Amino acid sequence: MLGETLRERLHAFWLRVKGLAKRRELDRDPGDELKFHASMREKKLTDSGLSAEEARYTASRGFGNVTLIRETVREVRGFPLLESVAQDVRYALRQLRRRPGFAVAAILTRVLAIGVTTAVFSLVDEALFRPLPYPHGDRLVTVGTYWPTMTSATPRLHSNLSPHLRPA
Amino acid sequence: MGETGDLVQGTLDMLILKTLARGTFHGYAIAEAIHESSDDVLRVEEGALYPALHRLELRGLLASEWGTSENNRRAKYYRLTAAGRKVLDAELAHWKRMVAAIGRVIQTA
Repeated sequence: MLGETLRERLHAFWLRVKGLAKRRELDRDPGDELKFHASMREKKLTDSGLSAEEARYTASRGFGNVTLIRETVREVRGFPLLESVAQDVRYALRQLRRRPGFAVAAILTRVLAIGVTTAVFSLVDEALFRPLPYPHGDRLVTVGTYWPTMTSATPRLHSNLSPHLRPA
Repeated sequence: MGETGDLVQGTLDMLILKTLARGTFHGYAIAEAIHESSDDVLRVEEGALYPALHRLELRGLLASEWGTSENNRRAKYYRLTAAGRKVLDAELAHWKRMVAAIGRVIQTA
């Protein structure tokens, strides 16, 4: 493909924006263009001696491409990715409207799930991940005793035994 | 696309631009012009022509307008823009350099 400059790319972007507004025309136009092309070809064939039927058949062979060309034009105008996403969203909304019970259930489940997760995370975040709200919170420690024979992990504070320090 | 070979996308773009340097034409006329100027060697199918035209228009190298054809049908006419003319000149110069270079390599064989 020929090299593209910034100016060309800006122009292309601008045309894509305009293309969003003129979507219906842009869908119809390639069909019209191809119909005209086919009709001209048909005429040329009949002029060169082919029967009307054969001419029409030969000329309409190019018609198979209409969908392909329309798709290419659509890629070239508008923003195909955005439009595809928008189309999916519209479809989803249509489907949800048709099964309201299912929609309610799906939405509630998600709302609850997100709500609970957020709540738990907020708690955990405050309590464990962030430093405690005291000055020099990162220097707080729990002081405990290590009994090799004890199975419990909870440290006890005894003054006459050497303490092992564990950070809070 | 062609009878004797395929044209690379950039080459087809260049041929379209060159054809439109001679005037304003609709798609069919452009295909016919290329076919005739090449002495019937190059045949451009709609599947290649119209996407190329639309892409060139998107880049601002062509401008299009609906009009009525000789036989009173609705047709889209394309013309070269100033930007298109500049790109055409650049591409022609590039092409000539390429052809000359390839020719030299072939000759030294």
